[in-house]
Amino acid sequence: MGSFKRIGVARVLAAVLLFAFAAFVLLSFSKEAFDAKALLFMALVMLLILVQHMLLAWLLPHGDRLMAMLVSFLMTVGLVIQYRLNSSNALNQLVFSCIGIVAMLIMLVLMKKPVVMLYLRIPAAIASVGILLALLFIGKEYGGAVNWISIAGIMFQPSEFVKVAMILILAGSMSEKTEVKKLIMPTLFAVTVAALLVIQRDLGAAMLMAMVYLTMFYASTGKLGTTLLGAAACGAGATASYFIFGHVRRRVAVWQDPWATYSTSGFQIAQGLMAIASGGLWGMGLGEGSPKLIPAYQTDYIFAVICEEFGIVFGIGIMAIYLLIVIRGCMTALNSNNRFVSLCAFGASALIAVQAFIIIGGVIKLIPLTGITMPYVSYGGSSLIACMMLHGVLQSAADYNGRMLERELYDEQYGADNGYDEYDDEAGDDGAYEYSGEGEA
Amino acid sequence: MKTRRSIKTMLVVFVLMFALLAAYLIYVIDAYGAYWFSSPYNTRVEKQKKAVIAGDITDRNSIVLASSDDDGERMYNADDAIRLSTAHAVGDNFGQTLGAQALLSKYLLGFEQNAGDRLSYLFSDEKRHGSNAVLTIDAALCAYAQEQLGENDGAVIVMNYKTGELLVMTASPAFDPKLMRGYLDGETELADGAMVNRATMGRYTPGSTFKLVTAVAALRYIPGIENRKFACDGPLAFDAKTGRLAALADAIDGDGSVKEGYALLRDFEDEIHGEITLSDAIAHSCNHTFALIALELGADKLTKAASELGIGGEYIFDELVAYCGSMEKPVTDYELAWSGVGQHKDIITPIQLCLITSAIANDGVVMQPKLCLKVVDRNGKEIKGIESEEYKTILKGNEADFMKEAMRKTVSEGTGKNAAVSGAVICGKTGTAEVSSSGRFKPHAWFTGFVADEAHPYAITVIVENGGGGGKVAAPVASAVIEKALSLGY
Repeated sequence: MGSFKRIGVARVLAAVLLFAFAAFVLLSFSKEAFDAKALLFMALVMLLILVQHMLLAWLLPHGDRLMAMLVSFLMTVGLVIQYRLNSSNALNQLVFSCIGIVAMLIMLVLMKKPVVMLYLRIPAAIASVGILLALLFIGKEYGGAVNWISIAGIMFQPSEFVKVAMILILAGSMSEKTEVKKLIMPTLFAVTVAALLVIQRDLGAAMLMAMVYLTMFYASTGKLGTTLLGAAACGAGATASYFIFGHVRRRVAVWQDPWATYSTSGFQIAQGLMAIASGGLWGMGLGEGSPKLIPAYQTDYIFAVICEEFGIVFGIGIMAIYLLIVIRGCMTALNSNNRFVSLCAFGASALIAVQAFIIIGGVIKLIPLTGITMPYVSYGGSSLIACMMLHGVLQSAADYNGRMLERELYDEQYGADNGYDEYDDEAGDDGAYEYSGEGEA
Repeated sequence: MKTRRSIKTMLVVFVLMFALLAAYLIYVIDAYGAYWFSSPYNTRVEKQKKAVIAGDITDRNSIVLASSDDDGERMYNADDAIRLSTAHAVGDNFGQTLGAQALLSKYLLGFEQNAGDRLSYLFSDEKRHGSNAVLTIDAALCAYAQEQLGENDGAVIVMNYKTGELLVMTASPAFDPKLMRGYLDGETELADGAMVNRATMGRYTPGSTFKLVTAVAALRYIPGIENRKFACDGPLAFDAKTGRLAALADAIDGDGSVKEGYALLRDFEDEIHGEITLSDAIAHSCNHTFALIALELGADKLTKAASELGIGGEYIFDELVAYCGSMEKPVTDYELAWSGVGQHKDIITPIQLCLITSAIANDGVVMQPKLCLKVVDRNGKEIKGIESEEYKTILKGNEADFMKEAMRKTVSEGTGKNAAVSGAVICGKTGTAEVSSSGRFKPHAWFTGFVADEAHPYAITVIVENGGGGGKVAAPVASAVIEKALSLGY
């Protein structure tokens, strides 16, 4: 366990840079006049990719480089599409990416000693619920959900950050206790968060939180029956909301037949499907499609835009990249002997997996559409920064595992009592954080 | 290590979730992609029309049906008969109908051209041209077939049952694609329903042609039916209130009129067939026998067999939009009996009847009907050939053989004599679908059949709306069209 193969990372990095190069060169020629700004933008994007790569290599000798490359690729795809759609928004997105890298670094520092995060979880939980409650009064409506907040003129979406907080809070509580009875507090927290999100009509986020909570519950307790019971309760809640809320009923009706209500509520899904169908296997070509016909083309519907211009094969490639990130995240979780770190890595992976599934599934009409962003690709500061924080969690977990392994090897070589105390953190060695045995009732 | 195991389990779940996403995306685009793309709502197609000069549409003999001038303005064949008889197959340029212009716009507007093709246009001063589509239809034969329908509305389909190629797909009334702008502006009058392709979308009462379905149900679910004899001794009487079968003697007055409270199921022109086998009952279209068979089958098995043949289903073909018929499960015996002879609430479309017929001709296999033969570039070089594909096997070999023999007898000695063509073995089934209980409108005349010859594998379905008896009106149309097709060398 532990050390990750570095073979191929250089090649993946070269491929990501090549993609950026090809895409932006194409974009610079796509308008009537040659667009030199595209090349400048390309240089900035490449710089961003390299800076992230080097920062991680420098700060985290045991970090997961391949995952970092995959995340960079998704961000690059997002930036290319944003530039093609609206170059000034692309610049914003580039700024968000930089802030995202800073946020990732902050997570790395916080996670360096997992015990710090453990202490922070109660305040984090109170802050999360508090800000969601506050949204009920000061929230601004945008795109159907009342989940925006404006501080000093900057709009952001607190629910994105609550997602990250929830992973850490749940990982903290669940790493200490595995008995179902003792998990009342985290459960209560998750239910409160989900309920507040439903009230704000942020159904996608509510669904996401509920599913991530259940997967984390299952991972930490291993109790399939209780988990399924929880899933059934969520299902009952969803069914109830179908009968209580008109907008939920509309969503389901639109999902069943978007063409029936093409001129009103079915417009978005139908446009998305036509965009995907128009792209075909290999796409219409970057800059050749009409993505602006689709509502929310920059954010929730970016997958349809990707399929229209790059093709379905590329779209499936994007799914594969999400899956690779999730697989590597889960491997990190499996490789960890620290329960908290393991659950953090698993929770972050589960969040990325479920979020990508919900939005891509919604766009291709596999499941009813709920508006959430596509991780690392959609336009939006809050979403991108929160996703980068998750990336930070995953990287620091991988690094933690590597450090622990290194320490073990060091101990083997020089004996246990060697003054090698650089990594002396309580959480790592404390029995309470070890995996619980089968016998625990 | 519970946590480790459950993380592994969840990892498997995540892998499955993404596999599901990819599989669904591939499935849904494969099944519906062409529909969505050619949807009239897809304004990308309209936008492309401005940037690209749409390719030509020709019939299988290179007769140009639609083309573009240098300004991209759409032009159609100058011959009125050809233009009108192929109007539904070719479609219009305004996204109003589902003809080749909409369904094949992917090729006609060059959406499928690769980057190399596009770049070559980028560096030349010429406007980009789409590819040309060659249809499977024979325009001259379409015109001939439409002429045979005369003043009546209706449709004619001729399909190669070995390859699925549609040789004729014509429907009356037709719109004139040349006048489409006028129709849309309301300046030109358009006959009711002229934009509907009756051949693929017309939903009709099948009448006796539905006996093909009832007969297949009987072969499938009543063992030994092919050797049994039925006694046709005139109409069947039903109690009008309960819908139950009643004695004929109770239902009829001395003077032959029907008593109140009773309803009769009569044969065409009140014929009495006497002792009759299933095969002869098909040939002579005996309502009495088929009503009894339907009653013996029961509503469940009759509807089950119908749905096995595709009635009530959904057709998803590449580049052809076609509707299926439907059937409502009968409740009373009276409804069941009528349903067995193709009345009650039975519905069929000409294309579906043609496909069921083609399955009988082709050992039970339905080929996917195809309208586009190939896509060629401006120099006539083939870009994409359209392969023939099996769509479904809906009959067993012995069922197809039995039906074929009964349909041969229909033309040689039964109700379909008028469909005979000298020098060819024609098999068929007639239908006379009652469409008004008052008798104010004449019934729809149906004929569906095929040439039983591997060298000329053609199935034909004809409907003449309000034409009268199937054997008298539709069968001669079929005969004339097949004779013409054979004389043209098909």
